[in-house]
Amino acid sequence: MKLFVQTPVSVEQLETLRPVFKVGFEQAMTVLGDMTAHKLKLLDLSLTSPHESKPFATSDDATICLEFSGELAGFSAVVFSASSAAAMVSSLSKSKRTSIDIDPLRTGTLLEIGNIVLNSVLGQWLKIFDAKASFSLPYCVEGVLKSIPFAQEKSDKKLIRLDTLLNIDGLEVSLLMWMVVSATSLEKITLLAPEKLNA
Amino acid sequence: MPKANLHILNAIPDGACLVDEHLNIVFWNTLMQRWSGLAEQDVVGKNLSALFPKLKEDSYQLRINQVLQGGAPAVFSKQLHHGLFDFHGESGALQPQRVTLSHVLSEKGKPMALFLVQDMSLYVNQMEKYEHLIEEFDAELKQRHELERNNQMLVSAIEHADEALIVMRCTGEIVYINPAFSEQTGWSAKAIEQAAPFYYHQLFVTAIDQSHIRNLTMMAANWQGRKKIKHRDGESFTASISISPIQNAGEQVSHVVVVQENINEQLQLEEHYRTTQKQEALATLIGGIAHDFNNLLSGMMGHLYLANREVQGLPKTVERIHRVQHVVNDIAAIVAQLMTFARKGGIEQQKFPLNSFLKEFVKLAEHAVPEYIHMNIDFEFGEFPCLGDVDRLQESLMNMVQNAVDAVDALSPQQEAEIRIHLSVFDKTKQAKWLKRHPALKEGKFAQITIWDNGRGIDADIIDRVFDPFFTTQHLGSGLGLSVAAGNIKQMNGLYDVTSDASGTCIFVWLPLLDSEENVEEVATGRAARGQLILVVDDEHIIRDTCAEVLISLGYQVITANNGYEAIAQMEAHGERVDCVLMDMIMPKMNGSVAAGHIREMYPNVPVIFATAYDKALSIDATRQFEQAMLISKPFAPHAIHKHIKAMTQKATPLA
Repeated sequence: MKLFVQTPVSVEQLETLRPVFKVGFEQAMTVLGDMTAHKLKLLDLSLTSPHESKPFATSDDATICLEFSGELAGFSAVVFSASSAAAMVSSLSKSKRTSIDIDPLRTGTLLEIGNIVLNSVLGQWLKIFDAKASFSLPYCVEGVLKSIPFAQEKSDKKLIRLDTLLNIDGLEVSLLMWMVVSATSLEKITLLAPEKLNA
Repeated sequence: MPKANLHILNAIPDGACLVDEHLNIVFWNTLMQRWSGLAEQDVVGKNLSALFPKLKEDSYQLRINQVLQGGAPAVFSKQLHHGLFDFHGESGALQPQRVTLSHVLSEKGKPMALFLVQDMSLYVNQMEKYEHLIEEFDAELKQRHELERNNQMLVSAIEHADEALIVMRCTGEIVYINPAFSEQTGWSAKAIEQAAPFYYHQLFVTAIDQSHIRNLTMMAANWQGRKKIKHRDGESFTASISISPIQNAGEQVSHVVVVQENINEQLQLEEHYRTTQKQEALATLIGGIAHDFNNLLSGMMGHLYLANREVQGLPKTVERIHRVQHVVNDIAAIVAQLMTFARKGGIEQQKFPLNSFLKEFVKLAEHAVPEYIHMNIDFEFGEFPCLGDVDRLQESLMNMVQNAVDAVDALSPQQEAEIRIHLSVFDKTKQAKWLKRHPALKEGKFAQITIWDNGRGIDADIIDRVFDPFFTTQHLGSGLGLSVAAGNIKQMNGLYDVTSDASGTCIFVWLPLLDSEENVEEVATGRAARGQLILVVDDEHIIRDTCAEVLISLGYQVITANNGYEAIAQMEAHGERVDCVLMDMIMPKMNGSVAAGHIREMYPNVPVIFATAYDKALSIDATRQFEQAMLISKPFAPHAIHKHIKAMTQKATPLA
């Protein structure tokens, strides 16, 4: 088991990245809303960079993971807690049952929601980067997620944690996202982001 | 992706469709052909969104473009998309799908997108079966919980039941007992187990054939009855027993359940009830006989009085008549004793001096009164002859004293607690308030006993209820003390009342005083009547006629009536001249008190003397509603009725 222990991202860099994530999340809300005919809104988004991670997800969580490589290489994941998973599946898919853990159909729904969020956020990164990347297929991990790719002690990767609060038809749901990228990619994007976002 | 390699996609278990950057179909694998019914040559080169219009929607276009531009793969789940590719299965139902869209590059490096369509029908069917199983499991679990709850309730009910419950085999061998069984019989579950096999019929005082129970169970019939059951200590009790068979799943009797109730107390109550009923029947019979005797004695007394007047010149005959009069008086005394026996509660009426009685009572009461309470005793001089049950009077007064002690007990240590017990003759000239509240006090002489305390007093809103049964202000009181006391005083033809204010509480008891022999003699030799008109009402002609004759001999004028209706008719005809009505209480058609009510509507002030051959206590309440009225017992002596009439008519028409 490998824990992620790295030098945290600076506060200034996080401040620069915040609008990038915000635009990505808002686009994801729009896509989800259009597809499901529900009103979704991003209420709050905060970024932190822990220098070491506790488990990325706990036993009751479901995590949608996506790995990417190339000029932009790293790992990203959206973590659904049991309550937020139940709330999102029941409100967006109109499923009657929300209490059964082992449910491939429920997993499918979470997979698509996570996929939309991750694609929208990473789409923003790629747009700013103006680069290509290769992606894995998104996959779902149920339960504890203690380690992630690129978590080697000598890696130059940086860990970013996003805590978001969404509103789905009046119901407030929290969503957690993890993002791991290289220090060089991070420096490049924080440099380009202000200019590209304003353009 | 080289075109030659695309045919590999025909070997995968998913539908596959490759489109160029304009969504024109480049490849359409065999599964897609089977599901859509469209051959590859018919679709290649055609726009995918033209074949499947849902893909034209903005949200899909956005995601497809993201992929075409090199973005991450897009997943379209079964829940959020129904019929992205609207394929229908053999049953006609829309195929549930999960679609994955990935970015690929053409041989010339052009962006393309590969749709992989996964048929989720199998998952859905499995999930439906799974959900159905879960629902069944939930329902079964719920039912099991319900059964467990009911079972727990049943066990608790059996464990806490007053009735013994025994489960036994068909042979009668006990296999289960509840705690009530152990309490009833002294046999614990452990003792039964140690004595195994322990048969239920071993507990019967009278042995029965074991096959009896077996027969019952074989017939699967219920049985109910009573049996004498032996307690482990050798005593026995009567039990009401109900035996029912328990059937197993095969509807065969496997066990027997017995419900056993100890009915000893119930039997004692039934016996007591039967005895009470017999006593009540006897009392009714004696009361009826006494009534008839009293009526006959009334006639005899009247005739003896008249005969005595007619033979004044024959001393021996006068002597014999006097002897007969004594015999009649003795018989009247015996009848009075019979009536005392017949009275409810068997009260013992006896003549006693109230003054001496109270002096003895105070000595007794002093033991019940704590030393810090000052007792003030003040008895007027005189014998105060009364008739009643001294034991019950003592019990009643003790209750009142105890109430007074309780009342002063709440006083602060600085206040001196005091109880006063006074005895005096009720003075009608100074007690207008009580005469108005209790008109019966106007008739005859009464002793007045007062028990006063300087305690906490009684609130005005409850003072009228203190003599009610079960009314109490004390935490430990039954609320019966004063109620029983009031009943006892009424039995003695007495009255009672209570007053209370900030200074304290006073209970008043008034008991009728008996005439002394001297007074009787004085009346007997007193002046003759002055021709007043008396209406004599009685359904017994011997009393009515004799009484009329006696009254005429005493100087009265008399008219008579056979019942209440005739009495009213007589008053309508002669009412203005009638000075007094002598009215029997119990008569057919209309009784004395009802008739008196009608008469009083016509003549409000005419005096009424009610007479009864039954127990006076039975009529006292009915007659006390009238002012200018009194109640006397039959048989009455001529001089006594003369005295009463004189007293009543003098009050009604005071001398100038």
